[in-house]
Amino acid sequence: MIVMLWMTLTLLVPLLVGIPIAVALGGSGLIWLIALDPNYLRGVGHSIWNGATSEVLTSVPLFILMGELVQRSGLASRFYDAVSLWLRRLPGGLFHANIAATSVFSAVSGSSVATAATIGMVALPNLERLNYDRRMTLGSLAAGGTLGILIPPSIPLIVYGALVETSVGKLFMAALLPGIVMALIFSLYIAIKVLLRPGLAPRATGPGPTLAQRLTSLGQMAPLLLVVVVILGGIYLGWTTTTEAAASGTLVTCLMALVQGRLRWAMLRDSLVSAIRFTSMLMFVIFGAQVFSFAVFSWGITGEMGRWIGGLDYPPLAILMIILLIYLVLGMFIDALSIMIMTLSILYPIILQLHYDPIWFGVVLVLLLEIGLITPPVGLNLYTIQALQPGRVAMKEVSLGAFPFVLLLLAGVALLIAFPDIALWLPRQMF
Amino acid sequence: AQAADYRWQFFGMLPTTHEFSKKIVAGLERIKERSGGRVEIQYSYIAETPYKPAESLTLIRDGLVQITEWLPANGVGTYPILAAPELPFVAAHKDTAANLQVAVGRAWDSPIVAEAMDTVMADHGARVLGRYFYQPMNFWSSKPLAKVADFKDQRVRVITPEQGSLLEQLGGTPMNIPNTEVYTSLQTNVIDGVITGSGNVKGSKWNEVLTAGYIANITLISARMVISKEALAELPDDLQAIVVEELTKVGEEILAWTPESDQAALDDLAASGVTITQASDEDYLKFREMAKTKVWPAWKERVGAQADTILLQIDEALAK
Amino acid sequence: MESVEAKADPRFAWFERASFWIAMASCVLLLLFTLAEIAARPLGIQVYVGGEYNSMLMGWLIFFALPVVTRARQHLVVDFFNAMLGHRGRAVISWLGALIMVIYVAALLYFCAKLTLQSWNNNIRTQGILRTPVVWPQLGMVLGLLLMWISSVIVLLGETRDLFRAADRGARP
Ligand code: NA
Ligand code: NA
Repeated sequence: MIVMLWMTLTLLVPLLVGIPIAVALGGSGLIWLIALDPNYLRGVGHSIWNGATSEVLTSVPLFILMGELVQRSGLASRFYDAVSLWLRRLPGGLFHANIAATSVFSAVSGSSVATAATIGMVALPNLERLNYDRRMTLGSLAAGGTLGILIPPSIPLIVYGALVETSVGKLFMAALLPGIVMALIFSLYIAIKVLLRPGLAPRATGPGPTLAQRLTSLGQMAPLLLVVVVILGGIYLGWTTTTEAAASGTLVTCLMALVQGRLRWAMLRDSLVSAIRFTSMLMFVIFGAQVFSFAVFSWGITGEMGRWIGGLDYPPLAILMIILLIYLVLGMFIDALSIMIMTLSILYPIILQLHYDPIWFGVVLVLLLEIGLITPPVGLNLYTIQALQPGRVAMKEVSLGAFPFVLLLLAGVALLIAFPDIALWLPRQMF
Repeated sequence: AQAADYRWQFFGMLPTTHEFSKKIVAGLERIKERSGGRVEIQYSYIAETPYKPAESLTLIRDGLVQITEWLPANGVGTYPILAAPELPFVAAHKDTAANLQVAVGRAWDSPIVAEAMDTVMADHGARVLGRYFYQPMNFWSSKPLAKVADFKDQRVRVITPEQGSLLEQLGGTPMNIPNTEVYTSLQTNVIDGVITGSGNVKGSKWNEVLTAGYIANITLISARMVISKEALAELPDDLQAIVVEELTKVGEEILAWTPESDQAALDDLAASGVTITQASDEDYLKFREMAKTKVWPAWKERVGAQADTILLQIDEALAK
Repeated sequence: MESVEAKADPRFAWFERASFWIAMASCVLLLLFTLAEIAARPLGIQVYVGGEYNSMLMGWLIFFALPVVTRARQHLVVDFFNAMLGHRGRAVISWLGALIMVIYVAALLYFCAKLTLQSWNNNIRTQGILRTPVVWPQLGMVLGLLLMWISSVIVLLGETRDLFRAADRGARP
């Protein structure tokens, strides 16, 4: 136990002063390996190589590539315009368009930041022009964006699946229903809030859209929906494996862009560059984490922790609560993926020891990571929304706008703990 | 508790919930007891380590682990001769798991194969303490599977090139799916079937998404329990004797357990709703002819001039 | 994920750009192989490249992109507490980070090169269906790490310069 505390400390100190996460992880891992027995250093090469060539992770660059293409080809922004035509008249009007568009974009994008940025870019100017409440606008966009990692595909779920060796396909199935539930909860909250305080959203006035307009808007929604169908159909109906779904989604996106005359070389190249840089950056952190968890493993801590937790007298729920609290606190300061990569080697064996379902825990974990994305001081989605209107929005305003959604996400976690079947029902049904 | 004089690691190929691992862990426990706590060996499932199963012998050589399981099937890319006793339908007739174990054991002891194995072990400073087998490999599917013609158009997950070309010969489509995705892929019909042993079907809960098993006892996959000679030599003589004795005993226990468990697993699977069909002797011979003419030649090519002699020696050994 | 300006960046040296091109080619091949596998399936053809070649391409994609990621200083950092430090404090931490990066990458390079040498000596092949010699993809890993190490040295030199400048500024009244 004492060794583990020291290990945590030697990791946290360099991490928090601002040494790159990958180096803090890998470096302290190396030092602890040397301290145990320098002979173990020979395992480091295996550790890196086996991490780099994980078959499951090959879907990561492809999903990011697809998300980039959907964004850069304008498929997403036209979807937003079309969907707002339909939802304008609900109480809360375009706020619902924010949630609907982020949810649908989430079904093609594995990243929350990309989701918030893509939809925020189109939505912000619109809502501002129509005098929607500013705080609610910023909050609903930042929070809606977090659905990007819950509604499959999801980069964190792929990484989780790869790290704990569980089925990504199952994880995706498990996360779908909670994703939809969360989107509905967000929308319900907005509707109630606006009914109580009508000043938050202007009432739509004037004549509704004509039939012709409605029909055109359907045509505008079709391309993105087709991509969604290819991916979700691929995953849920068994047309393709996860990686294949990413590849076919990328292909269909290119075709859609081509049909709409939006396919450009520069766009393809920029998307590719983005996807590769992100993957490489992410994997370098994973390598560091693998070296660190190799050290944790070699010191025999994994087993020791398990026995220790097994001998504790607290009920499993209490230990789970402590784990959730740890994630909430870390989520305030550290980005979502890094948290997951860093903590799993220590916390995951505990979850197993407590007999929680690994698939269920993956979904709960993603909800916690979503919270981290919209809690200050470090919340990537907060930054993203703020950066869309540089110099005009205060961090405080975005944070306050997003705060009610933090509570809603916590309620989502509570729901999942009370009714695990929200996540586990669908994977059981698929036969 | 007093700290042990020798703290060792055992990397096993299966999770601790599996019967093989339980027997091993019990053996390690006996070693701890008999040595008065001086030798303490920790069992780890290889997937929890940073290593892959195929690397386990290298780990012995590099001193990263003292005892490990090793599957020749995982090393045949590097040592093609060691694939011979595990070629599909290597046995001349369909046989029970128990008889097959004895026969294939003799095939492993045939001169050229045995010599190749000794060389591999010597190169890694390793000593074999036990040789045992997994349940025979068979075909499993979520579609009806009761005769040779049923294989047509089925998409089956394969893990070796030999299985792949066999499937192609049968008119099916071999598929390449990572192990963690097999369950979901069966569930969503990305694949129809798998080739594996009855124990793995049960252990991985694939029977929840499978409806048919076709039992031809295609091949027996073997494992070796291997110890680092250097590590063993560091122990005083009395402790060496305890370690070797207990682990040899574990190997024998597993060897005896597999055939019984295969029958029990098949019964269980049938009870859980999987239709089990025993391949007829004629069908087995059809499969064997197909394997002999279409699958084995690729292996012969990799091995070279010795291949025919090896097969002859194996045939003799099997026929005894 | 931040949006990245893909225009030829004058900051990058020729070897960094060349290396990134290999990463891009790997990603495109990864996409094409996967698509080929889907297309071939209804025809009853199994293209085995999927699993094995894809994971090797994934390795190349990562390692050959690392020099550019390093040079562009895009490695993930927890910069919250760091931001509370003064100008000089940040410069020192930034320099320290660059120094540790050079050492860390050198260590990785050493261990990975050793592994590759072993694979070569023992003619190690993949466990999967194609039984490809692993030494080829592993050479990509070693080369990528070597270039990354050079990039990290260049970054460290830049940081050292900045540190002296920061010290100069601090010394002046
Ligand atoms: Na998503
Ligand atoms: Na946060």
